[in-house]
Amino acid sequence: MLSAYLYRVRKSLIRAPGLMVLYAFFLGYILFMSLVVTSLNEGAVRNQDAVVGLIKLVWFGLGNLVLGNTCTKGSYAFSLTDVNFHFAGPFTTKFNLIIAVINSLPMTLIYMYFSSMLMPFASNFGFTSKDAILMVCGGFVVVLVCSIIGFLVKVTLDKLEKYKKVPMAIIFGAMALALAGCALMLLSENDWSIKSAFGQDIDILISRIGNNPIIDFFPIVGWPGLIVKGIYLSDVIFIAIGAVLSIGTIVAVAYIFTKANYDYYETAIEGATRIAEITEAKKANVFGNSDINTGKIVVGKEKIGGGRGASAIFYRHLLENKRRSHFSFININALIYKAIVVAYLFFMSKSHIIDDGSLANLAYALGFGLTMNIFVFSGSKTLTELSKPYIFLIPDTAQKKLFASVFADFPEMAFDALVMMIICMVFAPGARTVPFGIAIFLIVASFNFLCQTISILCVRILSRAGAFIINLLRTILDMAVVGFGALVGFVVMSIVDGGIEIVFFSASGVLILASFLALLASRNIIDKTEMR
Amino acid sequence: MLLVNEVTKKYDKILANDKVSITLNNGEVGVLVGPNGSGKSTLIKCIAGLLRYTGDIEIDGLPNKTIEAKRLLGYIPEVPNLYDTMTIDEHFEFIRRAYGYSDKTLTEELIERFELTEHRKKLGKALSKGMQQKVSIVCALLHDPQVVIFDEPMVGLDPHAINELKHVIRELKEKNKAILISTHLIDTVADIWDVVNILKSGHVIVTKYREQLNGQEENLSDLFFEITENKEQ
Repeated sequence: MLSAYLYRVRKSLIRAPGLMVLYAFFLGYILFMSLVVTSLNEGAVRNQDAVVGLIKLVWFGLGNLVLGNTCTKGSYAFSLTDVNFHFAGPFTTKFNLIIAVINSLPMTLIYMYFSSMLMPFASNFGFTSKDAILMVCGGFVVVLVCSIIGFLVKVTLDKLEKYKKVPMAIIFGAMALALAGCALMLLSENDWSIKSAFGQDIDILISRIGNNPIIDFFPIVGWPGLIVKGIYLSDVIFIAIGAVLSIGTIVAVAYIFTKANYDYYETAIEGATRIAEITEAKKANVFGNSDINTGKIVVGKEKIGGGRGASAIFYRHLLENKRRSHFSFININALIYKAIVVAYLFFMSKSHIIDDGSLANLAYALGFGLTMNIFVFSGSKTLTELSKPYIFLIPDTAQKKLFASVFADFPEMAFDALVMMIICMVFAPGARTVPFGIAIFLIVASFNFLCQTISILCVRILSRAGAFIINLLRTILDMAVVGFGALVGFVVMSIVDGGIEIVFFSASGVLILASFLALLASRNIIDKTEMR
Repeated sequence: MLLVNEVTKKYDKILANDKVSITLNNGEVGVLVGPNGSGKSTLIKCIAGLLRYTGDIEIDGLPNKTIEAKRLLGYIPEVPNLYDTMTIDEHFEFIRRAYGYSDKTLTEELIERFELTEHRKKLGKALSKGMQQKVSIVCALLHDPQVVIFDEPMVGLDPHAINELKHVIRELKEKNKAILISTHLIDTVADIWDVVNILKSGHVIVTKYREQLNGQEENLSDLFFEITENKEQ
């Protein structure tokens, strides 16, 4: 069994060196950040409580996220190939479970990669390499154990159809209650004053919440934190309680899986099928995830409502948007990314990396927000269309079909620009003027449009190339156009002697012009490109 | 009428179709057969206008990539590829709108014949592969095309649907439509074909009409094995 598995792994790794490079990059980044974190902010005064609090909160958040997702959606550790060859082959269920654990390692590595992005921020309160290595290694174990426990819960509850979503509700509900409890305790310590409780510096907030007994004793994900707390406070009791509870959990899970002979194949197949669907959708989309459906779609009273010939494509897209988010102008992924932008800006402002009220905050907000939008709007619906035959078959001109598909993204792009405008105005009060508002709206909307059209152009030019080459060209072109737009903007600003909004107005003009040129150059894509 | 003239299709260095020429008259059922990898699906996709190629393909005298030719073509893909967030009924409405074909009579008739009535409010992704295949068939036929190309149409269908599809093909033939079926399930088309094109390694190695067979003694299956095995030797 093992030799067959190792043979397959060896062959896969040889055939996919890019993947190895990617994992090496993640690992290298984690190691690099862990090693340099001490020197990132050498003058910082160490806040031990904040360090411990941050480690515990990272484990708490990651562990609950993984637990909640796995117990609802099942494990993503098996592929359909595993199902076909391993499940039906002469491999024991226990051996296949070990494979699942091994298959989970890359995803766990990615979680740790994202966690390590917190290190520059943590260096502000004296985070050291030792802390970093502890956070990463401990987090690795927490994520791995939580994914196995979540899978165990999922397998058990799969037999009880109507209780399938109960564990996720319990886990996220308990998480919310725990955080609410911490907030209440913080308020009570500060005479119920919201301003004095939450107006404190971020390191103090982290130390208070992270070291709260509710987090300490939160089942499963809180227990390893007790060990850390005990080590830093040299408190043997904390170490003992944490160790007994954490090791006990791992032993119990291992025992249940080895002795109970869980029949988990059906549950694993569900996860494997979902992975296959996502992979197929991603293949077609080249880059980005704006059109991948993994959630439940509810059919309401909405209808296609209009269209003849190519314009039917436009109306169909609006209907599909409505199905995904209840509104034809809302892109759920874009909204999620905006929430991440808000969280990022909140942390930046709480850590005094950006100053309240500074116009420079706009650069942070737009820089981060627009970068995330590349992931949403580059994988446009038009590229997804190219994976189905209908856009090729519909009896209308290639240009009309392309434009009908492209313009269907406009409501989402405009709404996203509106949300981004509000975020910018909240975090940069200096931008709370009508011209600034319009300028921000235009720059975001035009950038979203540019992402979409440049992606289409790249597929038009390099239709036979792989996703990596297409994405590389797309990134270079995006950056070149944005850079040129900024340059033009600054030149215009210096000529008319105006404010920064002039830069945005001018740059958005360049971006819109470039987008239409890209669209013009790709106008025959449906006639000249093959179904992907 | 379908005319394929010297069509060549290359995937990098692999020659999938090499100067393939076939002709299918109105009122004829043509069959493309061949071993795996012989280029059947590639040729069908070229005819549907999904791939780039060199050579000429005409549908009723019109180049296949023109709007007028597309209006005359019905294509049933090898793998049904439906929209995840749309119901079956919405797929049909979308196709009718896209083809500017407002008459629902044919759609309703096909829905009933392929037993889709109970499923019309279901989402595309909620259906089994066989059901999705039936939806694909209805989508391809509901605008009453003049030329219909099927890529492995019987795969995944239940016996009732196979039977119904054969009836539909016969009716299309009676209505003087040209029908091209790519398949490796020779037996499923044995009773409906008029002309067979046997493909091997991207070439049409034999084109034969039903009346050219030696009466009762030879059938499509015998012909296929005789030709492919002889050529191999």
